[in-house]
Amino acid sequence: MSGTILETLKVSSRENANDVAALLFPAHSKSSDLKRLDIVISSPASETLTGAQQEPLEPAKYEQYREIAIELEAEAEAAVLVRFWAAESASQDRLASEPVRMQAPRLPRSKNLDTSGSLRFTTSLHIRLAAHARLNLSVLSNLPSSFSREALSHAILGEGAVLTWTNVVFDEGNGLYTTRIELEGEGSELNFAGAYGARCTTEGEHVLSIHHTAPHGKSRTILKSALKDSAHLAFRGLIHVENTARGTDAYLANRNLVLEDGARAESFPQLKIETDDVACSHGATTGGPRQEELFYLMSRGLDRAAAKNMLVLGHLGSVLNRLPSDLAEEMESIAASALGLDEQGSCI
Amino acid sequence: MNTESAALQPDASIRTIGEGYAERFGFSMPNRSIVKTSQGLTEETVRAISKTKDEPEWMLRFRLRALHLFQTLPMPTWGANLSQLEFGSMTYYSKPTESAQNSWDALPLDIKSTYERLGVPEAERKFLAGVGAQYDSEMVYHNIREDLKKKGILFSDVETAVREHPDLVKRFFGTVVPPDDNKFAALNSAVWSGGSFVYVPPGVHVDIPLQAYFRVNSQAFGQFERTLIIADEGSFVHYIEGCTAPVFSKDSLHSAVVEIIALPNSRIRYSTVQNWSSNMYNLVTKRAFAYDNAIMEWVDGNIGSKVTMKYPAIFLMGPGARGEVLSIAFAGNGQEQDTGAKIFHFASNTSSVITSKSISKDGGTASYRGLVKVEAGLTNIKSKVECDALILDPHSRSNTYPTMDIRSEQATMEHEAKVSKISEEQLFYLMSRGLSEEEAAIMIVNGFIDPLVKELPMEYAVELNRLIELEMEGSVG
Repeated sequence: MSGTILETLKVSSRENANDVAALLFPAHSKSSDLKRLDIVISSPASETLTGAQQEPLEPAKYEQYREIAIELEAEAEAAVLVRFWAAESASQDRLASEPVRMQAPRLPRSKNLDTSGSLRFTTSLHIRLAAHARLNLSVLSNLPSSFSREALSHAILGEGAVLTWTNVVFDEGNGLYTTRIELEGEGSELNFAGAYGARCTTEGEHVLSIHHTAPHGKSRTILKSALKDSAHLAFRGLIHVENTARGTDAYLANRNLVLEDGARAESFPQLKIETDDVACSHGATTGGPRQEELFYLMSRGLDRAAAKNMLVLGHLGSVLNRLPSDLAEEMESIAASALGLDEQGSCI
Repeated sequence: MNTESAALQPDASIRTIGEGYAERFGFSMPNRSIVKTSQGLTEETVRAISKTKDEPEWMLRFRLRALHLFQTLPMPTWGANLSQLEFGSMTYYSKPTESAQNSWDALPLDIKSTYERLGVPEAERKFLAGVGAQYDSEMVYHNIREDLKKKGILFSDVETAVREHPDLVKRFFGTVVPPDDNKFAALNSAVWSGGSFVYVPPGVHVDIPLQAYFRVNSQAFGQFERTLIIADEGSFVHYIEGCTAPVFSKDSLHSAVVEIIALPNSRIRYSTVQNWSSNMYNLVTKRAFAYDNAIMEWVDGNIGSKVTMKYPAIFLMGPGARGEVLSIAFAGNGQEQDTGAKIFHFASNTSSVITSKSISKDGGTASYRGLVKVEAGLTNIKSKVECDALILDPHSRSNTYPTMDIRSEQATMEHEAKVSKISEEQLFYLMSRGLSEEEAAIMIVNGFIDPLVKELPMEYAVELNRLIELEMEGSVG
């Protein structure tokens, strides 16, 4: 089955897509280093903008589109970091890998997603794990508000494969993120954790569907978010257990922290269960910081804002701490600045 | 008559409740309706219904406006499959006897025997409150105990209330569920007939549950009852609705509207055990407004019907209001139970609890579909949702579709759902104590729905446990 996913990609790639960024880990390979993949998007040159405004082009030609493929052959083990950068935030020395740069022309307004006044960046991530492969994947994204994101991810897990996925999104523009994970092989396992932060007028929708089609699969999913100002995040988390997936054990949790009145968290956890021999559950909680906890921290000498920040980082910490420690620290500071924890009323 | 004397024995009747639908409830009496509208829904039908009921002009106008809305509103694009529903081939009104009776003996014999087989007289003998028994769409049997009357409690069918208390009806009718709410609310508003009207004066505590036993008899006949309950300040009332319907070969439609107004400091509990026959579409709009410090509780059991779409809603309108929904659904062969609850928090210091249990079996589909919404700027909001589902065989399905929309920092919202089969350990333990596998499974299922059952009055609890046992028969091994 080697190379199947890459070949499919080459056929399906759109004309204007950059080269496919692909990682292939051969059978039985054990790579202990973290493989880093930096995807850098730059602002459009002014002439591109003028050109785009003058004649209406097909939306497909405007789209900046990027495909990433990660494939593990049987019993391979790997750790991969995929990171999306904006050119202004990615200085050359911070990048770990040879960056893939791309120009992003202005996009016309999309129906599904308000991308007016921003640059549209579409990514597609494909993951395939063959039998008993193990992948530890981290996907990080913090693009400024001048970009809107549309992210599609698709993972297929073979027999006994284990996928550990840490997803951190602090994009400041609007975004639609769709992830589909298929536990196709018997006894495959998914361990997914996501941390999401939004402030100002950011709108984001995260759609995660986990499909169990083979017996004795196991999935654990946790999605944590923090929201400020009038940010609006929606989480749709589906666990679908087909009739063939007997003995499935699945859990999905969604925990939202609403930091200010007017911020809005929507939670749609869903279960679709088509057989009886299962243990499936989901939980969702949404709330503000607990007054008791704030009071405790303030009684220890923190001011209200600092106490709140500590609670936010504590909330997201369980996800961020799954990253390698240097990244976890960096993500904490990104979370703090993306949520504007150190400033007051900075929305324009 | 043998059947009659058997029915008079309370023990015998409890033992036989729900036994084999076709034998017990599947009797269809000869149709002896006095007035029956032709099939299909037109303006003439609506005018005919209104004329038969001798209604005031404002009610006729309300009906006609609703009819127009019904014809223009779209069918829901979500939820259960309603494609087999034929609005054109249904009769929208039939009136069984000339006027409502308040004495049991004055009822025609066949109607009486229908009720005796349902066990209504026993219920009366057990000192239950006034029984408003609905045969087809008109209240034919109505009995309010004297002490209720003395306290100033109004309990009648809605037609009587329109005549006798037009001010109250005009003030509240259609305010909680307006006709343009959805297609089925519009349909009900256009052709409604029967249903209960309850008004409890300020400070009055109704000690005994009020009951109405609904009954659908004519084939392909939609029952569109309309219930309006108003609890004035500081009062309390428990209203019970129970449904059984005979088996018919053609699909039938039940589309009720229930409007409830809990004024400040009052408390209303509304309990339903719905056991429609397996060809019934049960598409119901139930909604309650709870004002300052009021408590609204829905207790909802869905056993029968082909398709049920029912989401009792509570609007928490005033500070300190509290809402609670407790529901169970049992989906058997060919059944689709699409049930849930909706809670809207519109005021500070409000709280809500939803507890939903479902059991699916023999290829049935049970779905929970719910919504909890908290507006911005509110403080001290608490909401808790718990959904448990049991799947009893590999061919049945269970879905959970909750929605939570929170816009306030001072809110705490929790949702928890789990789906599983009967635990092997529990079965093993009970069997090691000498129970057969079937007995053990029944005991576990009855334990599963216990939180709801214990909230029901005894007669209903017994009936529900018995129904579950019957549904479970032959399901193990």
